Amino acid sequence: MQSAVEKLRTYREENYRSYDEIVQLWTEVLSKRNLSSLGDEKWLILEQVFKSALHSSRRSIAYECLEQLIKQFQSTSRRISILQGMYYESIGEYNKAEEIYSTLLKDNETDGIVRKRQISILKDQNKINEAISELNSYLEVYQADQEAWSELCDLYLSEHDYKKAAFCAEELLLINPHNHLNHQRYASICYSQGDYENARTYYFSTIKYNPNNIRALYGIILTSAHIKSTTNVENNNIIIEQILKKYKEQASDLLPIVEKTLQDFI
Amino acid sequence: MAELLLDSAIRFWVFMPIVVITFFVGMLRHYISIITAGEKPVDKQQVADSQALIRTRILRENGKYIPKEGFVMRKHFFVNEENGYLTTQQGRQAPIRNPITDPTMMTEMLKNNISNMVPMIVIGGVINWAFSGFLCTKVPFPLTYRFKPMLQRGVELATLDASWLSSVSWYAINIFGQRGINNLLLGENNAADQTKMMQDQMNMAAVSMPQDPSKAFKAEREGLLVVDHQWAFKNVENDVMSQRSYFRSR
Repeated sequence: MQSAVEKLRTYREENYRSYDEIVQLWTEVLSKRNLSSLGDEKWLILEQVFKSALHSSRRSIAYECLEQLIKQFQSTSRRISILQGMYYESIGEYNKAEEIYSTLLKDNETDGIVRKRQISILKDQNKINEAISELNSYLEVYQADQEAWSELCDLYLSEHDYKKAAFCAEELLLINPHNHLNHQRYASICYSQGDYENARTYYFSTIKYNPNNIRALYGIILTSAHIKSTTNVENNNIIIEQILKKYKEQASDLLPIVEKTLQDFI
Repeated sequence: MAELLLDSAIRFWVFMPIVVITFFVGMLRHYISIITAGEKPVDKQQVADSQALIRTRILRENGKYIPKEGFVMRKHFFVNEENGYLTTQQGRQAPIRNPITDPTMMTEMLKNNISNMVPMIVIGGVINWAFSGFLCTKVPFPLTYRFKPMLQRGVELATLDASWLSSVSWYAINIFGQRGINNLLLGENNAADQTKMMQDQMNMAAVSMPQDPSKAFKAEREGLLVVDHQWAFKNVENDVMSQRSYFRSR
């Protein structure tokens, strides 16, 4: 039991996203034990398990945790109210959730978490346009919120609005320029827009930060199909070799298919 | 010189009670401060200001990672003469918060003072009233005469050895020494601290806000004006290919 608690603690502190494992730890180890010996950590664990259960849609577990939390803290606590709202969201009672969030927001209009939950309700209901405009007004205040920019980028992409999505992706590059996924995302958006020069540049910068990014390697080859020059051909061959080598190491059964596909580009 | 002997009742009725009292008062104060420390709602404008400053700073530092178009567009948005964000913001008059006229700030200050000062005064008074005039222990090393007013407050005997400690001074020593014990017992890792930290995360940026945002905006605008775009990835294809460290294995 001690090791389970320790594990949950590290997951909590480092924001791990292994939700299934957390729920599993709960059902197998912790749920039957008496947790009151843990003191106040018990409530943190309950909250953590609750959120993980929502992620892996284990509704009954989530309800169980929420019930215990409400019993301890009443529903006057902001933090519990948010959890309650999240539970309503998960069972599709958006009106109830929205009600909770708007009362919370009335008390404290700068509560970013509540704003984000409201936007997520809109997204859940597939009201993408409303979600986009809400998120935009959120970003007017919280201009440096990486999560929000990333979400907005995805929303624009789902609307095929590449130009605005590219803007968001640029914003992400500014906030965290050393994350290869940001580079890859920006490159892919450029590619979709038909801006092959920039796409190629950013696929290369992706490789600069992470040489193992297969998607970027493929991306370079694809862009070269649109940009004809002699150096490109030379570099392409090197990169194709690199891709094949990686497949040989990691997934050799796919190698013939990949080889066949890449034939067209040599 | 005749050896001075203390009544053992002093140990049980003066020395120990002072230790216990200071310890529990410290503990009580800790919990009271947790209860009274309400969440202060942050001003929306303040959050927006600090976030804008963060974003301009990021643009200044990491602008080279995005294409020139994107950089110039953002720079224009922030600094252009007519309606750039920073240009309009630097002209805005900052509401100066006067602690005397602003009642919310008054209560905030009062709360702080009350939780700090009142117990000090009350307990100090009680100790003084109940326990003054005792010698209660002796430090195990000789001290010079100068220490007498510090260690023997309440016992004004000119001929007494300076290493004797009076009860009131013992109380003072306990007060200063209790912080370490409290940290050990209440811990920096207890649940109350952790939840507070999570709430603070959102507000942290706003708290570290300078007093006068318009000045900060002005400085930021000037900083951004002189920054030119030097694209970091101009030759990235050649760089990556010529490094060859990833591609060398042929």
